[in-house]
Amino acid sequence: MKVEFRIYLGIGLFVLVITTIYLFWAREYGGATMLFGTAGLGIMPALYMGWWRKRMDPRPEDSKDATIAESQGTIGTFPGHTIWPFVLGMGVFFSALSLAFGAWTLVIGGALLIFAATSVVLESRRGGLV
Amino acid sequence: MSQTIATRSGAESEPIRFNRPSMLGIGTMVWLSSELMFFSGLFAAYFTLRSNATGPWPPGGIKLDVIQSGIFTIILVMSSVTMQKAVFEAEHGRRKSAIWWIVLTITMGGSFVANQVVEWTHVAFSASTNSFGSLFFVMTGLHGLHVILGLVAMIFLIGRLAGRTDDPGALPVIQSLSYYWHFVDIVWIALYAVLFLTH
Repeated sequence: MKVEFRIYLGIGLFVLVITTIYLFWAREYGGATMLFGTAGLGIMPALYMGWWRKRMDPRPEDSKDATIAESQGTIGTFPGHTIWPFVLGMGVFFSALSLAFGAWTLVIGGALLIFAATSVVLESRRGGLV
Repeated sequence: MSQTIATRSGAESEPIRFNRPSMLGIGTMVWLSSELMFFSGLFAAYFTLRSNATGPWPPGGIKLDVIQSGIFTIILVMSSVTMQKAVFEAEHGRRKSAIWWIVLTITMGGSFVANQVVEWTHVAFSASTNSFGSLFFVMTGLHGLHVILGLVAMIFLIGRLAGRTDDPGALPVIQSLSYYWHFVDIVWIALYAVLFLTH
């Protein structure tokens, strides 16, 4: 976790410095808010990974003299190819369209959303195509 | 990932502790930081519109019920506490107790959403009245949508916790959902402070 923690913390602290400079130079709150959010984007995962860094067993990725053979084997299980993120995207698309076309579009979008959210969860549980 | 397995007979006092973060936990944290950017955009829009406004801010006719929203803010904060308690119970193997704490969290979150709906219908302005009006409805609406999605996810989680008792994957799921719920709670506190308290 050491490298990941440092990358995220580096981003967060750098943007925090930039936010301070921006706030005093431009004196404009809209951009300062976004920059502050960007600092949070770095610091939030950094805090999480930093917390785990002290508590977890060292991985091969964390030691300087690790060999390739140490990290061989199964990395993890990942989902296979699936249609449901596309259906989820279409659901979000139709839901956003409802702002322009009216609430009836939300019915289509909401139905697609619920359908996709349920199916993507079930597919990863049962495996294979749902 | 290896973990100490809690004993199933009687005294389940040994909490389940992982020796590395779950992939789901890391992914949730990174995604939540992108959600932070999403809400930062809305806050930036608010501050930009506020600084560009020619008249008084908020524009005339905007009256918000600070006390009522304050009460439901406290309820949402308490729902974060109950969610954390549910995680604690699940880590100690007491799944039935965890389910009841999640039910309590859903109740409190649902009452918060209900209050949002009541406020939306009772408030004197609409999204097309002025810039504060449209910002108010967009920001609280999108936040409310996040709360509703969190409640739906909790219902799925109850279904999973109530299933097989030897399901080891449920613990990262409840932990990640608690991260999401705490995030939603903190975003609401910021929203409440900006929209209701500071104007």
